[in-house]
Amino acid sequence: METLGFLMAGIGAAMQPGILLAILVGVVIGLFISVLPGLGPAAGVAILLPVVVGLDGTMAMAALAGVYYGGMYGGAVTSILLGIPGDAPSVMTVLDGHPMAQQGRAGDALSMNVLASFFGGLFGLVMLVGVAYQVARFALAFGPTEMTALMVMALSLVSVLGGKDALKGFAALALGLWIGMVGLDVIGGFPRYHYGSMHLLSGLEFSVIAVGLFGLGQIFAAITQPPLQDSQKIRYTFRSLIPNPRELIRCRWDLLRGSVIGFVVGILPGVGATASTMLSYAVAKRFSRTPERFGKGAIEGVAAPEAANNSASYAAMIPLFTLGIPGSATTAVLMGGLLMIGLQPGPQMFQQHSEFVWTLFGTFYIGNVALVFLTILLIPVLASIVFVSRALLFPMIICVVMFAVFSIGYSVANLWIVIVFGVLGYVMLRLDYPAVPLILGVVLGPLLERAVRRTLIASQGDMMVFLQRPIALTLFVLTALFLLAPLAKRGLAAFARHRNAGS
Amino acid sequence: MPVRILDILVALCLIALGVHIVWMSIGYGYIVRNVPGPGFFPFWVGLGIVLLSVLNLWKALRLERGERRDREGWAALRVVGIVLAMSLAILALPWLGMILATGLLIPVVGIIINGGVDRAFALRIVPAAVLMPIACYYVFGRFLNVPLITGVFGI
Amino acid sequence: MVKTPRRPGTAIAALATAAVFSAGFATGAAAEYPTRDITMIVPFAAGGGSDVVARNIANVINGLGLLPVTVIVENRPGGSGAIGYSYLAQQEGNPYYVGTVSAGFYTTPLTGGSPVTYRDFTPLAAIATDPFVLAVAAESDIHTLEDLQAQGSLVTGTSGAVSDPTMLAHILEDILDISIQVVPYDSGGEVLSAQLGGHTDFIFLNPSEILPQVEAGELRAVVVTTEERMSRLPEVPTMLELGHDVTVQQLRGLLAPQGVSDEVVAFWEDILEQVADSDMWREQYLDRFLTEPAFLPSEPFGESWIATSDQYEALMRDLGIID
Repeated sequence: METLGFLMAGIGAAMQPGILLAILVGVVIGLFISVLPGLGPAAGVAILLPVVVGLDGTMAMAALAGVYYGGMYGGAVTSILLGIPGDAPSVMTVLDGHPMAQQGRAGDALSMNVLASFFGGLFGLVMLVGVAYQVARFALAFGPTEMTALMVMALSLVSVLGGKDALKGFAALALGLWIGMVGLDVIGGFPRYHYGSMHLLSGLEFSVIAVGLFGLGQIFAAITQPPLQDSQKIRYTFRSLIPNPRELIRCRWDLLRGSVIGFVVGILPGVGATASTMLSYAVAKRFSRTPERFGKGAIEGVAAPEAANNSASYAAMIPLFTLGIPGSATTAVLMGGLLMIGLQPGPQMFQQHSEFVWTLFGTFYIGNVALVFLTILLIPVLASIVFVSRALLFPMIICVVMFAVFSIGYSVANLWIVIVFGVLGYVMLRLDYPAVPLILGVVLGPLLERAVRRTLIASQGDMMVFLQRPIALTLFVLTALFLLAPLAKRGLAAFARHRNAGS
Repeated sequence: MPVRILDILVALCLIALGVHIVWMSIGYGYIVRNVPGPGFFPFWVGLGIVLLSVLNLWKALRLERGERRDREGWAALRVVGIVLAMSLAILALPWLGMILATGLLIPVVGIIINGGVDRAFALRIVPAAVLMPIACYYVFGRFLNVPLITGVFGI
Repeated sequence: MVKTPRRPGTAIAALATAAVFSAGFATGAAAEYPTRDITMIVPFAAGGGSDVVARNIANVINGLGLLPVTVIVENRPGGSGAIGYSYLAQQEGNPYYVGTVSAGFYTTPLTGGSPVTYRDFTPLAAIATDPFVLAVAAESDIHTLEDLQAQGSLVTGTSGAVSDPTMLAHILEDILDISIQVVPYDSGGEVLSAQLGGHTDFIFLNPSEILPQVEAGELRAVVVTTEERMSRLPEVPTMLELGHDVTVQQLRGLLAPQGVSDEVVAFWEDILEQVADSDMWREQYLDRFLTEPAFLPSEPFGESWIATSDQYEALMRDLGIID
C-alpha cells in the first residue's frame, strides 16, 4: 500500500505541463518511428537524445522512455495493414493481423492491438512498481545454463509454429539459425560467413530480414495473384474501429499469458521483447482449442504478442532501475540518458532519487493512457490506406522501404539484403516453406549458441552442469513434456478408440 | 516456372548451401580448448540443412509431374521486373541520389503491377512519384537526420 | 593519471591563425580555421560509450564557445565501427571532420573487418582515461589478489571476446599462475548481471559500471589498474603497488583523417586541453561517468595507438582468432 501512495504521488508530480508535453513528444515520436518499416526505438532515441540533454531530468527521461514504450504500440499498425513489420517486436503480429486486414477486419485487429498493448503495458507497469525488487533478483539467477534451457524450450515451440510441411519447417529453421551466425562470433571473436564484407561482419540486421521476408515477400506474392474483384475488396465500417469489449473478454487468457511471458522474458538480460512475442504467440496457439485458425486471421494471434511486447518493454526497465544494469540495447541507451542528465543508475537509485523514479513511473502510466487515445485517433487515418489500389500503394511502400531500410545503419548493403530476403520470402511462400521458423532461428539461435558455449566455457566442457541446476532442469523437463504431450494425447486417443472398438 | 521444378531447384540450392556451411565451419574450429568453438554450431546446422533438403528433394522428385498446378504462370515475371527495377535504382543511387532514384522507381513499379498505363493511372502515379520521395526526404533526411545518398545533381 | 607538461596556449593560437589549408577546404586563403561547422563522427549508435564521450566533448566546446563554429555529432554505426571509420578515412585532409577512438578502432581492422586501420588517421589528443576495477561479490571470500591466487581456477565474464578485460584476465593467469575461464558476454550490462547472479567469480569493468555496485554493497573492489589509487576507491590498491607491472586504461580521445596539417592538430590539442581543464567537463563527464582525467597530446596519444593495437594483436593471436 505504501507503494501505491508513492505511485499516486508520482502520477501527481508528473501532471505538470512541461512533463506532460515531454511524454506526448516522446510517445508520438515513438509511435511514428515504429510505424516506419523496420525502424524501432533506437532511431527515435537517436533524435531525442541530443535534444533532451538540455532539459530537466524528469522531462528528459519521460520523453526518452516515451519513445521506447510508444514504439511498442506503433509497430503493429503497419504489420496489420500492410504485412510489413514496423519494428522487430511486431513481426509476430503480421502473422494474424495482416490476414485479418485482408478479410476486412483491419479495424478489429487494430483495436485489439491497442487493447492488448494497453493491457500488456498496464500489467508490466503494475509489476514494475509492485514486485520489481523480487523479480530483479530472480532474473539474476538466469545464467548461461538457465538460458540454454529456456532457449531449448523456445526452439521446441517450432513444432507448433511450423506450417503444413514439417520437413520444410525444420529446413527453414536451420536456414534461420545459419543466418543468425553470420558476422562476428561474440564468444570466439571470430568472423563467420562474412565473405570479406564489413557490412556482414556485424551480422544481418533482424529488422531488415523481417521487412524483406514479410513485407516485400507479401508484395511479390500479392502481385502474382489476379487482383481482387470489387465485391471482394476490403470493406469495413468505422464502427469496427471502436474497440470491442467482447473481443477483449474472449482473448483474456491470451492477453494474460502474453503479458506474463513478456514480463518474464523481458527482465532476463539480453533476451529482448522480440523473443517474448514469439514465445507468447506459440503459447497462445498451443493453448488454443482451434490452433488451425492461427496464421489465417485469429484475433488471439494479435492479442498475445502485442500484450507481450508492451509488458516486456516495462520489464526490461526493472534491472535498470533496481540494479543499475541495462539488460537490452534500448535500456542501455536509457541508462546513457540517465547518466547524461546526471543520475547514476545503480542499486541505490530507488533510495537516493526516490522522487525522480516515482515521477518517472507516473509518466509511464500517463503515457500508456495517452497512447490508447492517440492510437485510436490515428487508426481511421492509417486504415484508410487499404482503399488505395495495389498498383499505387505498393510502389509507394517500396519507396518508403528503400528509405527506411537504408536508414537502418545508413547502408546501401541493407537495400540489397532486403531484396534478397524479399525474393526468399516470395519463393518460400510459393513453395510452402514457413517463414516463422526462419525468423525464430535468426532471433533465438544466437541466444542458444551463446548460452551453450558460455556454460561449457565456465564448466570447462562438463556437460553435467545442465542437469545440476534446478531452474535449468525444470525447464528441460517442461520442454520434454511439451514435446511429448501431443504424442501422449494421440496415444491416449488411440488407446480409447481401441478400447471403445473392443467393448 | 512450374512449382515442382522450383521446389527441386530450391532444395538443390539448399543442399549446396549446407555443404558450404559445413565446409567453412571446419575451418572455424569445431572444438577449441575442450569446448565447442566457432565452428561447432554451424557444422550441425549445415548438416541439418543438407539432410532436410535431401528429404525435401526426394519428396519433390516423387511428386507426379503436373500434380501441383501452377496458378501464377507469367505473373511471376512481375516479381522479376520489380526486383530488376529496384536493383537498377540501387545501382544508380550514387548518380541519381535517393530522391530521384525512388521517384523514378515508383512509376516503373506501378506500371509493372498495373500491367500498363492509362490516363487515370498516370494521373495518380505521377503525383505519388513526386510527393513520396520528397515526403521521405523530409522524414528520413531532415527529421531523422539520416545522411541520405545524394547524386550528381546535389539532391 | 598521465601527466604532461602544459604548453602555452597563446603560441598554439598564433600558429592556428597563421594556418593555411589546401585549396579544396579553405574558403579564402587568409580565412582562419575553422570557418564552418565541425562534424564529429561517432562510428557507433547513439547512447553508447563512444557516443557519450563525443556528445560531452561537443557540449563543452559549444557550451563554452571554444570555437567560432558549432560541433555537430553524427552517428554512423555499423560493421563494428568499420562503416564510420571508413567514412572518416575518406575525408582525407579535411580538417572539418573528427571522430572518436574506441576499442573497435583497434580490434575490427585486426579481424579483417575494416579496410582502415589506425594508420589511416591522425591522432588529435586524448582527454580522459577509463581504468579497470577488479570486483568480486560482496559475500565472496576473495579480499586480495592472494585470495584470488589461492582459488586456483576461476571464471570471469567480459564484454566481447577481444577486450581489455580479456587481456587483463590473461595477464592475471600468467602472473598469478592460475587458470581463468573467460566467458565473453554481449555487453557490460550482461557481464554485471552474470556477476551479481553468481555465475562468475570476478569481473573487470570500468569504474562507471562498478562503483555504484560497490557503494551499494553488492560488489567489492579488490584491485585497480591505474598508476595511482583512484580518488573514489582510496582503500583499493593498484596492481603496481602489489608488485605487478600492469596498468591498463582505455584512452578516450579524438582523431582526424590522415593528411590534416600540423596546425590543425595543434589547434585541436589546445581546444581539447581547454575542454579537459574546464569545470563543465569535470561536472558533466568525469564526475558522472566516473572516469579519470588525462590529457595526452597528439604524439603520445598516437604512440599509445601503436602500443594498444600491438597488445590486441598479441591477444588475438593468443586466442587463435588470427594467425
